[in-house]
Amino acid sequence: MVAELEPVTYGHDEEILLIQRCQAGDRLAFEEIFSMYRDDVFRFSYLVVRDGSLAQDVVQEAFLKVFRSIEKFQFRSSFKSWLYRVAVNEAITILRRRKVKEDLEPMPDVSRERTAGYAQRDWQPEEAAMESEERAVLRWAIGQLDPVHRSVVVLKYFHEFSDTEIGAVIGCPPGTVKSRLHRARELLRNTMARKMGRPDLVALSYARLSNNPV
Amino acid sequence: MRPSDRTIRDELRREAAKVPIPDDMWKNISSRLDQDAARRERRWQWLVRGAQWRPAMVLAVAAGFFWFALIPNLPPMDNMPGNTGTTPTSQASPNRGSQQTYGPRITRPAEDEPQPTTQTASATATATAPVKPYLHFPTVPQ
Repeated sequence: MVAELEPVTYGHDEEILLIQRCQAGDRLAFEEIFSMYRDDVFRFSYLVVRDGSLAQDVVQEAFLKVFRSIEKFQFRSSFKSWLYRVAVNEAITILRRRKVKEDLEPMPDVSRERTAGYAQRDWQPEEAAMESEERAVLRWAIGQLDPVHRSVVVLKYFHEFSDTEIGAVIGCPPGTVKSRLHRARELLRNTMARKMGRPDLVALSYARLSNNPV
Repeated sequence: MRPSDRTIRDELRREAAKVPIPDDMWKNISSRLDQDAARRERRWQWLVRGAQWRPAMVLAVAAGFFWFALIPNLPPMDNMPGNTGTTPTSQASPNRGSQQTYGPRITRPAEDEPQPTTQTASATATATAPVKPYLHFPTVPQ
């Protein structure tokens, strides 16, 4: 006799109860879930969009979208993965909208430098002098990554998600996550080598990137 | 030059620690949720109010359809069963006996009335002027 398989549910019991209360329209349960994930989602959003006010917009829109459609959540995946997935999509949308806006309305150099944040910030030699040069270059290089690769790097190294969890967030299998991480590291290496004037390492990175076109 | 995993992790943590977490996010989210609830309430009230006047509107449309599409296709009122031609409506009809008309006939120039023969020039011009298109329903040839 074959035992019937029960549907797999993810999440802690307390979290499941909170989500069920949310689905019943309990605003206090919304607030509790928001308090549980607010800091992590904000830091993730900040590291992806690289701007405090934009990160705040990302968090607010992501939580609003989750709360508005939480009735459809059926516990077939992790709530955390779903939340981060919404946040990633919202961050990419906001970055794309900002890019279109900047293309349509070019700002003066001063305000652009003030509002664009780290993602568009130019190389600042005095900052490099104050900190370790490699770290400063690395920070600048992370800002040069595209949002998808930056999201993968942040989820992997900052939130320490597994490849499977990242795959659930990004919407791809773990193998693709591994290759995207590899490509992100090579892009970082390439960008850093160019910035620090190492043409030999740039050529090596190009060779590796051409072998892993993900 | 290749950054180690530890370097990347430390750098990300250092950068994330720089930015303070805003404390007014839940306030904004809560106000947006309140706006959502108010919008839902307004939509529900619109539906409830619509439930009152929508049947009346449907009835009005049906009445219009009945008047403009159904009435002209009814049989002539003079030939309606039980109509002996002595009703006030039938007696008041200017074309009684010469032409069958439909029920809600409003007005129409009498075609079989004799035209005046002795008139002045201006009166003749007025009499021969084209008849204005009065509102009337088509007739059925007998």
